[in-house]
Amino acid sequence: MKVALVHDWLTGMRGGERCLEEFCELFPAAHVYTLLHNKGAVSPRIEAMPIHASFIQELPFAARGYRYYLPLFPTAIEMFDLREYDLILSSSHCAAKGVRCHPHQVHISYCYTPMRYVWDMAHLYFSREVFSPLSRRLIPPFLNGLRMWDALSSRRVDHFIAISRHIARRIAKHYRRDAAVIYPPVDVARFKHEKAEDYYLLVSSFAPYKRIDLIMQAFRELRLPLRIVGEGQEYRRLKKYAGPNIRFMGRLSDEAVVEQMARCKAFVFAAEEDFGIAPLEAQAAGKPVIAYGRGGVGETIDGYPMSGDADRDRAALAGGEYGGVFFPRQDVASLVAAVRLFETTTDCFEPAKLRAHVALFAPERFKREIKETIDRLLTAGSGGGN
Amino acid sequence: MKIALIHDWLTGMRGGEKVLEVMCELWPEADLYTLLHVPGKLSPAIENRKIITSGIQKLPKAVEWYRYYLPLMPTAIEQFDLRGYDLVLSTSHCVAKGVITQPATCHISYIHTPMRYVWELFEEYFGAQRTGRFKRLIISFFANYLRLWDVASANRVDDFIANSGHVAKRIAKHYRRASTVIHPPVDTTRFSIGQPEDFYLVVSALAPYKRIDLAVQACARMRRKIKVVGTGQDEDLLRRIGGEYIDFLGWQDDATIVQLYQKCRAFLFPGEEDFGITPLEAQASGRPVIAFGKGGARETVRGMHEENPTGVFFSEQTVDGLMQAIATFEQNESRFDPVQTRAHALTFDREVFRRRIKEHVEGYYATYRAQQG
Repeated sequence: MKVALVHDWLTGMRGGERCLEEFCELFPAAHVYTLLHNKGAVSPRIEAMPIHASFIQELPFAARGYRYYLPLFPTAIEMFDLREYDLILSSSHCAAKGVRCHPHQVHISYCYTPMRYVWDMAHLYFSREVFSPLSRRLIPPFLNGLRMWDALSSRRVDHFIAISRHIARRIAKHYRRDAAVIYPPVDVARFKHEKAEDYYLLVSSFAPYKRIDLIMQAFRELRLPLRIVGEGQEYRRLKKYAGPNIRFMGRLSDEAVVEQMARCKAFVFAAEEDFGIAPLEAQAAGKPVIAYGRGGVGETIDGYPMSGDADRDRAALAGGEYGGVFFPRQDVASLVAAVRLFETTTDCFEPAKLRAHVALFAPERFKREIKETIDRLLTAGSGGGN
Repeated sequence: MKIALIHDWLTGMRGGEKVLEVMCELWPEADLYTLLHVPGKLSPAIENRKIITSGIQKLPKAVEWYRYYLPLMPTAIEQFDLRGYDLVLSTSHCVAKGVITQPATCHISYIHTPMRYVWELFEEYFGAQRTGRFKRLIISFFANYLRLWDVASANRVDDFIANSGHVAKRIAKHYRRASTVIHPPVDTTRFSIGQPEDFYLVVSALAPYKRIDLAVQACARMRRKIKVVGTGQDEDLLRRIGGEYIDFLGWQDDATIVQLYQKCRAFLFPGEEDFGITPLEAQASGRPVIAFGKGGARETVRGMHEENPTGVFFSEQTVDGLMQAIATFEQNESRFDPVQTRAHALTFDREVFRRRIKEHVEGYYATYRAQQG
């Protein structure tokens, strides 16, 4: 069986590329097709594969400015000639799922999300804070075209696999398709647990939907020490607002992140995330998670949903069954209340239990589930639903 | 529960706005989003709420020219930020159904018609007889885009309600989606049975696809009096072909129209409509309807082969076809009972609509929530 792996772009190692790495393990003879490949940007395991890039690669400033070519991605992805393959496995958060396939081929798409910046998160991405009034006028017609293409090209997929139930719901809403759910792999083994020091931790890219602004406001109010690891488009803007109790650590090496995780009091997270790897990594370090209980995090973390009644919440957490605290609303007051509750229940979380819980998300489980599901879908053939 | 209502544009009270009005009464707390709003043109039940308009409102001379901005409307409707609403109810004859909602938001769309000027009525609107070659070419490209968008955006609706079985078929044809039929409301309380006189009646916009020319010609050839209420682009043409038997009344107020309905011998309805409220207004006045047997009229008028008929259908949309139907009607005039006719119209009353739409929306919303888990 000849296999093609289609991935949006190879410009760095993030969650999606970790999945691609596992796909490469599963199908070592496969070829990789991608819009753009910055040589050396991904792990040796992926770099060792035969990689075919689209014409986006040839465009000026593509290596760094490729995002501006978004309106060309649909056409670029449609230009791949995949006639010789039997199985097309696309790993898609943007255009990869739109490759052209033949009736005898089976196209399975592992979907990180339907293009979220054109659908339900458009207002978060293209907000007044980030884009100038002129761009905000020029962008909508492009989004209009991308929405049509995204919805129509979803029909080219024979079977969808979503990274979470949250994403399966988004696939159902925007594509009207069913999807199996397989959580992505989390490298839990590299994390360790140590005695907590006096700081809360957030590891995140600085994208608007991560709501780092909200976490910072809450911690200014709480006057508790917070460390923020990561960088991104909002880094400079938000750094200005860091008070004495908030420390910006910038981008750290994997090893340094492991150290920070190992010694934090708890991990704080305010995003409605498609999946949310970082909170699971914190659990792998045996640390409780204080998070907005929606999206993927609501599925993967065994958080206690706050009722608002402090006595009742403390009593519930005293049982030691939970992996963290979920705050119900994505606002400062809700997060402040959650941290205050946590401060009085710090000893109610059992590190060994948290670590055992996340062992379920290890790469072996991912590989096994993907293999089983693909085998099952291949028997089902193309053209059907899930 | 937070609710948003989406309506294409608010520039006057027509059939579509009557549907919206009932929804506004049912959900008084709901916010209303629309491409364009001309304040004061709508009933207080609609205007007494937060109304959010789109970028179309800010374009030059939008109130007069908004129809020319049609190619921008898909993008404009997509800009509404509907985060935080639990339920979005769109009433759509154009682009309202294409709003973007969150996965957690339930989107139910009441469809008056899938954009008919790019589908079935493209020729009637932009056919070779009325539009020059160059203009037609340009329009065809926009229509191509609008067709693609119309189908792609149908995907965004969780649950379709059609205003008639006819529209349900068109939704199935163009969008490949199932829908539930709920006929729009008719305010039957405004009408009552009176003493008929000897003339036939037309109440209609004088647009080409309404085929008022058939009614005028048939009456002229049969030497029957016909009164025509309404204005529109075909007025001069109709005057020419009507001769001495036609009485053009132009625009008339509601009270006069109520009286005309009561007094007419029968109401003529020669066009193919998605639903058609006027035949029901005539029936609510106890008067029979002579209608082309296609489209919404088939659902609102009981034909000759049924018990207690309320009208006569003709199957060929020609002058001869209509003349035959008028002859059949006149031979069987005693079979049409005003009381039975009005009773039939009452099954389409506003209250019936109100109850059905409430039941359906609440029922579907509960199902949607249950699926979300």
